[in-house]
Amino acid sequence: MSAKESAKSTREKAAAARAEAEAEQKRRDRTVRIIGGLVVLAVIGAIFGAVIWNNKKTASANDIVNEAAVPKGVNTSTGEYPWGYPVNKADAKPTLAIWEDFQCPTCAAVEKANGTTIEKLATDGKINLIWRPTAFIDEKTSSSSGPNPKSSLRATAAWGCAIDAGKGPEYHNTVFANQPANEGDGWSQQQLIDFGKTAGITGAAFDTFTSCVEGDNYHQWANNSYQTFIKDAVPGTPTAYLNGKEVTLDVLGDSAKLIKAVQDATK
Amino acid sequence: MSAQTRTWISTVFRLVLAGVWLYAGGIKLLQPGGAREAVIAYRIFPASWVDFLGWALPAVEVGLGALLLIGLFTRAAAIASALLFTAFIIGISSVWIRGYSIDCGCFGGGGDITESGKTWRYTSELLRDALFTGMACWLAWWPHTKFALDRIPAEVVDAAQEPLPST
Repeated sequence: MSAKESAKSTREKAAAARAEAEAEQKRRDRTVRIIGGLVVLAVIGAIFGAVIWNNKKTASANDIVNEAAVPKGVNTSTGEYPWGYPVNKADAKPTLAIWEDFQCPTCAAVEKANGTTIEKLATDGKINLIWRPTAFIDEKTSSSSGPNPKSSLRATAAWGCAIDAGKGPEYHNTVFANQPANEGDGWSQQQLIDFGKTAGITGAAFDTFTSCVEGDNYHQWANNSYQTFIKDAVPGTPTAYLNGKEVTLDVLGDSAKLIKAVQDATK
Repeated sequence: MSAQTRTWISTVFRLVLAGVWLYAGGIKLLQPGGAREAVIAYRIFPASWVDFLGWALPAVEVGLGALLLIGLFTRAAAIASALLFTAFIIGISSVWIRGYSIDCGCFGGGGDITESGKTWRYTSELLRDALFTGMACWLAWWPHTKFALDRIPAEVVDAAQEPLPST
């Protein structure tokens, strides 16, 4: 073998080794990619699995019961504003539907700033006012809440008893006026009963009211409305819709702006 | 700028973005409903989507964070990151323009909040997301980094080498 041939063969060998090494590197890369990709997919899959499993566990408590008892005049599962409380009826006038949580500080602020105008628009027959209760703050504050858990839900159920007694708006305003400074502190059952007196429920009607609150008669109605709030993905409280179109907070909380918006919506 | 410097800058960006995604996604996964409340506040998606998006969004964020952390599919993860940050910028601008005052829910939380400090809040969120978008674009352009499972192609390694002393 000549020296020339020997050199050529060495070069060939080196090239072959390089090609082999590169192929090996490519195989390694592919393995890394496939395994890495699968691991990341598995992580995402595990997240979804955990979520679905967790949802299944809690689903039964979140069910809407269509047959639930509702307070006098309150909407049932059917119609446009299920489980809502129509404060008045004004044919052919725009509908203002307001989602509120009794423990929501901004709701109390809006009620304080503009509650009078909102109710006057209803009593003057300029709007159909519908209050829609929710109770999401119960869960939001559950880790920090003290002696009165589930206050939003219980206050709503007690409100239902007051609606039966014909004092719906009065009771509603009383609860908001007596909202504790610290969100989540809520009210005791005794306070919710006393609010009935403040709202002007007296005599035999008060006894009926008290036993209704103590029996938690409208618990399921309150929960139905809360679950509807979740199902409809309502963005917090207060959220108001005038003929289905969202009214921003600066309008809802301002007398002049709200009156103007109602005029614009009235044909 | 030498290829070596670029590689180091890309490495820093990759790890920063990995940290951002893992933190942002992780904190959302620990909340009830995931990012559901935040998604709702944007008033962009219909009610039937928010349960899915509430979990899908943090899951995707954690997935991107994991890929960037180990440096696998770096370019694809960087492009996806840039697109997701751009989507967030559009989302925040859109709620701002429509007059709502929300917690962006970027790192947990979400929902409507008071108007106070709204301008600065939205401005700083947009600037922050723009900065992250810039980092993701850089990484998509120069995806070769240190400590990555992605292999650096030979030509990039060669370019980064000191020139050999001439003989």
